[in-house]
Amino acid sequence: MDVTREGVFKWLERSAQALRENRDYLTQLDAAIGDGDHGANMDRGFQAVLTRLKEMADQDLGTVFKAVGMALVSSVGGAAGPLYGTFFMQLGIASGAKAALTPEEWVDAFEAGVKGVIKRGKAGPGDKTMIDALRSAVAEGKPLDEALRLAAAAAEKGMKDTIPMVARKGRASYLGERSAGHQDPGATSSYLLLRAAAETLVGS
Amino acid sequence: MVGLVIVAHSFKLAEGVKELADQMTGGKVRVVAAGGLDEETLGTSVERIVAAIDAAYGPEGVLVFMDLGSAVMSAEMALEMLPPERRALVRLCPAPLVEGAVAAAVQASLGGTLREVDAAARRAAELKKVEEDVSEPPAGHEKAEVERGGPSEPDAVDADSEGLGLELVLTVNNEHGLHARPAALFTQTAARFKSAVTVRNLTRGTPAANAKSLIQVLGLGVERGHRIAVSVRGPDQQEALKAIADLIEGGLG
Repeated sequence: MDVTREGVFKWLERSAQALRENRDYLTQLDAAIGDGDHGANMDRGFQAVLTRLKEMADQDLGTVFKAVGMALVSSVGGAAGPLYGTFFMQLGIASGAKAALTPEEWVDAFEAGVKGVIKRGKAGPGDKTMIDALRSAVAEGKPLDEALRLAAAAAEKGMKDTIPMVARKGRASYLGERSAGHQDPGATSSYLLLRAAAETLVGS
Repeated sequence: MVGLVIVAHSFKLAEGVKELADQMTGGKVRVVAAGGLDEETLGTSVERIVAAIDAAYGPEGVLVFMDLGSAVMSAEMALEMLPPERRALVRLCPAPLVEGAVAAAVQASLGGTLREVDAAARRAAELKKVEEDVSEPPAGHEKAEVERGGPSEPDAVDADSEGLGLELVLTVNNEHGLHARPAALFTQTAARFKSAVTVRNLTRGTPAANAKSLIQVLGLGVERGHRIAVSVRGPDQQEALKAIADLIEGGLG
């Protein structure tokens, strides 16, 4: 039960679909505590990813993930661009020339991606950011399909846990205490990506 | 000459900052705008920033200015994507976008190194745009004033008995005062000399500003008819004062 190129393509396509369906929802969340462009930005970014994927049919996973990262950093526009871009580029570096990843390799690559996001955004747990969803999803030592489901559930919890938090990073941090009571849009898009992974990444 | 890159979420904002910087240098410095995702969409793009750095690049290096939050992250990523030998000559500058870019453009046009241009931009952050209290000029600022006589004779008088410096009071008579191009010309002239040069706007009663810092000179708000006191101290103070006096009386270009 490995992570194959086919699984990765399905994951990215499902992610693009989920982000399109939740475009207005993400924008509403962002309008409450940010600048109100997260839905449009993520949708545009993943449409650019889909375009790039068309040229990636024969490429190794390292090349695919790096191309995804580049597409995001050049099309998302907001902070999510460099952050998700870094996540996928780190996945790419960890995947190298492989066409498939074992569950252990996948977990290592995912952790490298999350570390990259933490380093890029200089955010930690509890800052009311995507880290709160992504970090909750790391390190589940189970068979891959079950691990991915647990990761998505953990990310959902991490996302909901951002509701009472006071933002310490990004545009929402300008609001201070008034950011409490709102779910973080970045944590929400991170959850959507992990839910898509649980649905598609290993063959069903 | 050091090149500049302007990273902003808005295409128009980046182009506008470039326009201001170009005006100061007459287009002598390579200033490249990397604003927006495209002409209409707000955002920053790593790809556009990398391309802008390439376009601004030269042997003296590139200084990069940024507006808000994600502009910094995007610029950091762009930097990481450069070949290592280039990366060493590209710096991200923490100065405020407009003031920093304008000050850097002038410093770059004077042939400053990357370090000097960066320092000039950072000093721009210290500018007080709005004087808290202009009703009371600093006490005693009149005492060293010497009215200037003829237009070009070196008639400066020692500002104090130990001969530590010279000061001269001049009236600025050109149409726009010390603004934009005249201010750039003024700082460029002051910067040619080793001596320390400071200037106060007597009409407004401002504290002394570094005459080699464009942003500080602009901050004096010198308009037509204002009187300024120029103080010099250093090995070439006589020449410096004469050059500045000639410039002011010649109508600043």
